[in-house]
Formats: sequence, structure tokens, C-alpha cells
Amino acid sequence: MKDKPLVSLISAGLSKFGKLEGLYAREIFAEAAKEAYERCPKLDPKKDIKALYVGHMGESYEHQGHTGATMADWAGLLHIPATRTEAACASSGAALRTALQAVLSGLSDVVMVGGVEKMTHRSTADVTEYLAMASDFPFEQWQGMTFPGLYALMATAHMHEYGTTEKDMATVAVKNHYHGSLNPKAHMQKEITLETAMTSRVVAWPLKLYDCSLITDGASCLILTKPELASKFTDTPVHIVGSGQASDTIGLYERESLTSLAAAKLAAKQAYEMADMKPEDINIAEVHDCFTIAEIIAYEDLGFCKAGEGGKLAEEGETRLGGRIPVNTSGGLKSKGHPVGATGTAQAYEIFLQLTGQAERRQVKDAEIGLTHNVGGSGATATVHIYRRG
Amino acid sequence: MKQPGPEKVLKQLPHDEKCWEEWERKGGWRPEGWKIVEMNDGPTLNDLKPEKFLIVHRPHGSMFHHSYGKVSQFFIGLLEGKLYGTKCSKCGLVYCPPRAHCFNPKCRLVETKWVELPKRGEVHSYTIMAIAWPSMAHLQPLVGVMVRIEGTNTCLPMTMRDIDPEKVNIGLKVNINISKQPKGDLLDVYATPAEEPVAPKRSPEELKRFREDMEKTRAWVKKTFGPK
Ligand SMILES: CC(C)(COP(=O)(O)OP(=O)(O)OC[C@H]1O[C@@H](n2cnc3c(N)ncnc32)[C@H](O)[C@@H]1OP(=O)(O)O)[C@@H](O)C(=O)NCCC(=O)NCCS
Ligand SMILES: [Zn+2]
Repeated sequence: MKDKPLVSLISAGLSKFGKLEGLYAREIFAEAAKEAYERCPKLDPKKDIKALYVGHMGESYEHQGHTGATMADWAGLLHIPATRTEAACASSGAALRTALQAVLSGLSDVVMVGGVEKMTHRSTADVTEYLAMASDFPFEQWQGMTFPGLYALMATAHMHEYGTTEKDMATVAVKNHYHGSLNPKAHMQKEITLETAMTSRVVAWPLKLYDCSLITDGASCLILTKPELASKFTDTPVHIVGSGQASDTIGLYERESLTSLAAAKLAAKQAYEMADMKPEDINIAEVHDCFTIAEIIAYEDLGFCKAGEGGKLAEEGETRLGGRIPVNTSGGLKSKGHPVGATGTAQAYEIFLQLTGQAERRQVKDAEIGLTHNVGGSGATATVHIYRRG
Repeated sequence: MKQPGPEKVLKQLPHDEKCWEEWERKGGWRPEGWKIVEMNDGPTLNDLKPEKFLIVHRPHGSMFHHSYGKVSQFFIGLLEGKLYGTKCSKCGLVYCPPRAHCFNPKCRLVETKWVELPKRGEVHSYTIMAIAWPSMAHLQPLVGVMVRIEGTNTCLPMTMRDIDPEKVNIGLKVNINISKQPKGDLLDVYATPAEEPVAPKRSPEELKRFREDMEKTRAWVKKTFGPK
């Protein structure tokens, strides 16, 4: 059967994203969990939820590891099996994939999956170092290449090969800031002009300040169940109909191509095949815009346009609210913010709101099919999920 | 609009930023200072409430001892002024950065052999870093390149010297240099142009902005570190 549900989302929660100094990761996670419980009054969290999978990138930020059990405890779910997944910035995309397997295996019928990161209390230099741990240890770290640097290498290659411009990238930033200005939970709720983006200070040329995602604190979570149980909890579930995950070389230096992420393409192929869908079927998407060039490459890897035409797609406004396929209506990692471990399930949270008509000022009318694309590091992990309105 | 934070310090025991350097000698992790702050906190910007938090300043750091594992020969090579890669004797792939085992699926992780490589290559991609690691900040704008060393199948990341950032381009032939006082990491290696560089195509506006960007970065370096 076409787009047969694999699992159903019955609720979702998101903390405020931003500089939440003073708070602990676990407290921020509790905020997300609380919202998910409030959205689903028929759920008895303690009784119904059978397992927790939580994405978390680094214990260095807070000097706190053992995240699975910690989050279960603070989400009021003491004694359930709780496991952390780590896949850099795709940690909670990988958690979602794992949760899906837990439900599909029949082992756990209701599962909570989420992600969390607390970053802003550390200096930018510290954060940059912790993030760099997701790149290759001997040859990428310790030689000056930061994450903005790695994505800049992809950007120059894309510009060289396809004529993509700095303006194309700035256009993505302007769009995502516009979307973020409509999201009350976004980190940076402000619109910017093309001029602001293009004249902002260089971080790693061609990437400037406004091409980079934000260093953010935040948490997100989802509650999944078997499709046949969904109606017990809600009248408006969202079904996951496709799932894909793939990996690639940890070092960018061994990739055949710098203008595309092989892992993202493979994950997308798996997800489309499982859902029996094509890129044209997607109404809305949340993609991993850790840098603006990454969003342009995502358009191409996901098949929203041909290779090399991502810049044009943004330029034509097709991915802006009101366009053919609005991308990152939440504001994306650029404006909503990028608490790395929380990002994957935060993307799914936005799709959940959109497909249940709860996205308020940024609602895409009649959205029925959504997609999330979550990337770890410079592309050594990618997960893609496809969702259908229930 | 009301924003979460910025923090308002209510009470403070100031700390000495330098004290962490003495941390190992002192052998302590006890806070050196603290502050009680009041911040706005809440689920969205529309419902923020002031809350009180205690923030402490805890010295924390250490010497990092680590090995380069089975690719140590590459770094030993740098200490001797030589550039090494590895070669798979089954499929012939040449790795630099080296791999101790061939990742070609047909080769089933067969062990590779060390080979000395020519100190020549070609720029595969580049960036110009304006926010580099603190230890390199004084070198900004700093050209970062991925270089395909002659005869290899992968790319070695490194920095580039003796080039106007405006001129660095994909395809540029480069020489590989190893520092005269190598310390034993990848920063010992850097590229210099081996031919007259041809700048990438830029429109007049793009070129103007590029030059302004580089000027801003140089001005920042001068302000922060003083003139050379
Ligand atoms: C780009 C970056 C280095 C800037 O950090 P920074 O130099 O420490 O900047 P500061 O925190 O001092 O902020 C300076 C100003 O820029 C703003 N700012 C910081 N990051 C910003 C961003 N990404 N976009 C827009 N504005 C930003 C701040 O709000 C602040 O504004 P203000 O002066 O009006 O208060 C940092 O945001 C970064 O590293 N981002 C990428 C994170 C990343 O790599 N994630 C993982 C991806 S795989
Ligand atoms: Zn081989």
C-alpha cells in the first residue's frame, strides 16, 4: 500500500530555543516533555511510555554524560529503559530512527524520542572545539579547520562547479530569518535584509556570520506509537511513512564529491522508496541548514531541484512561505537555532505542528506530506524521514 | 520585545580569569568565583518570568596526552621533514591522509604500506578563515586548502602561505612545505603556490566586497594583536 504508516506521532514538545543561561539541559528537556504531555491529555506518561531514546552530542558542554537516564528521570519517566544516541548534529535524527525500530519490532508500543543540548554558557572557542570533535581527529582537528571552515570548502566547490553565488546563500538566510520571525520559540526572531547578510563579517569565506547557524540551548521531543494505537491517544496523529539513514567517511578529505552529501542522498532514496513517494510529493520540509550552503545542497540531494540548481530554487522564492515547497518554516537552524542534539526531533516537531494545522502565523495551508533531513558533522551521518497527515 | 536574558548580576564574587592556569598545580576544582543572576525564563518570548540562578566559575583543564595510532608514521615523517602516505598493494589506492587499512570494500581491510610522497599537489577546494582557532587568530585572513598530493586519491587539509587570498583558486598547483621546527601535528605542513595563481571569476561588486571583507579582517587583527 502506498505510504503505509510505519509509526504514528501522537504528540510533540519543544522548549524555548535561545541563550537559556542558568538552566541545565535536563531542565530544558523537561520543558519540552511537559509540552508533549499537555498536548496529549489522553496519554498517561508514566504508564504508557515504554522507552526513551534521546539524542545528545556532547558531555563536554555541561560535564554531564549518561544522558538517557538523566532525561528519563527529569521527564518523570523513572525506571523506563532510556538510551542516548550520538551522531553529532544528527543525534536526535538517529534517535528517531532507533525509536521507530523499537516500535516496529513490537518491543515497545509507545516510545518517547527527543534530543537536547546546552551550549551557550561555554565560550565560542570551547563550543567550536567540542563541535570539531565530530570531525576527523588526526587530520581535520588540530590544523585550524573549524566546522564553518569545512562547510566553506563545500561552498567554494559548489560555486566553482555550478556558479552558485554568495547572494544565493544570503537569500537562504533572509528566508529563514523571515520564517523564524514568525516562530515564538525561535532563538533569533528577527527579519534581516539581503544587505545585512551579505555585509556581515566573514567567518570562513565565502561564509559570513549570517550564513552560520546559531549556538543555541534547547530540547525537543516526540511521542510515537503503533499506527493501530494512535486513535486511542489523539484524533489528529501524524504518520511516519518513510525513514532512511546512511553514513559516509568521517573526513571530508576522502569524499568523491564536495558539492553533495552522499549519505543524505542515500537516506533520501531509502525514505522515498519506503514511502513510495517522489520529491514532487513533498509539501514542506525541514532541512539541516547548519550553514546556508548546506540548505542549497539539501535541495539538490533531496531532489527538490537538479544538482547545481539549489541556489536558483532559493532565489526564485520557491522555498519561502507561499512558494511551491516551503523549507524550514520554523526558521531552521539559522534563525530558530541549532542546539545540536535537539535539532533532529525539533525538525519533526515543526512538521508535526504544520501537518496538524497548529503552526499559527507560519502555517502552510493544506500541508499533507512533510520531510525532515538531519545531517551529522560534515555529512558522515544523515537521516531523512517522511510524514503524512493522519 | 522582552528577550531571555541578558543576565542582570545581582551579587558577585569576582574571579581571576588567569587562575585556571594554576589549576593543575593547585589540584582543585573548587569554584574561584560566583554570581547570582536574575534572568527572564519561559517557554516562549510571550511568557517570560524573572528567575534567580547561581553561576560559578570553576577552573577546569588539563594536558592532553594522545597517540596518532597506526598512522603515527605520517607524523614521525613530519618531524623528519618528509611527507608520507599509504598505498594498498591490492587495489593500488594511495591515501594521504594515510589509512592503515584499505577502505575499498574489495580489499577487506587489508593492511596498506607506507610510501614517501612528492611535495607537490593541487588545490581541491579552499576557504579564507576569519575566525580561526585562537592560536592562529593572528594569521587571519588565513587561507585553508584541501590539497590532492600528486599520485594520491584523497586530499590533505592544510593552510596556505605566500598568496593573496583573492588569488587562491581551485586547480592551483602548489608546493608542500614542512616547517623547519616541526612540533608533530598537521600545522607543521603548509602549501605555497607553485605557479602564478589565476583568481576565480568575480563580478566587480563581488570583488569590491571581497576586498572590503579582507580589509575588515586585517583591521581586526591589527587592533587585537598590534601591527606586525
Ligand atoms: C558564527 C559564530 C562563530 C559567531 O560566534 P561569535 O563570534 O562568538 O559571536 P558572538 O556570540 O560574540 O555574537 C556577536 C553578535 O553576533 C550575533 N550572532 C552570533 N552568531 C550569529 C549567527 N550565527 N547568525 C547571526 N547572528 C549571530 C550575536 O547575536 C551577537 O549580536 P549582538 O552583538 O547584537 O548581541 C558562531 O555562531 C558559530 O560558530 N556558529 C556555527 C555553529 C556551528 O558550527 N554549529 C554546528 C554546525 S555543524
Ligand atoms: Zn585496496
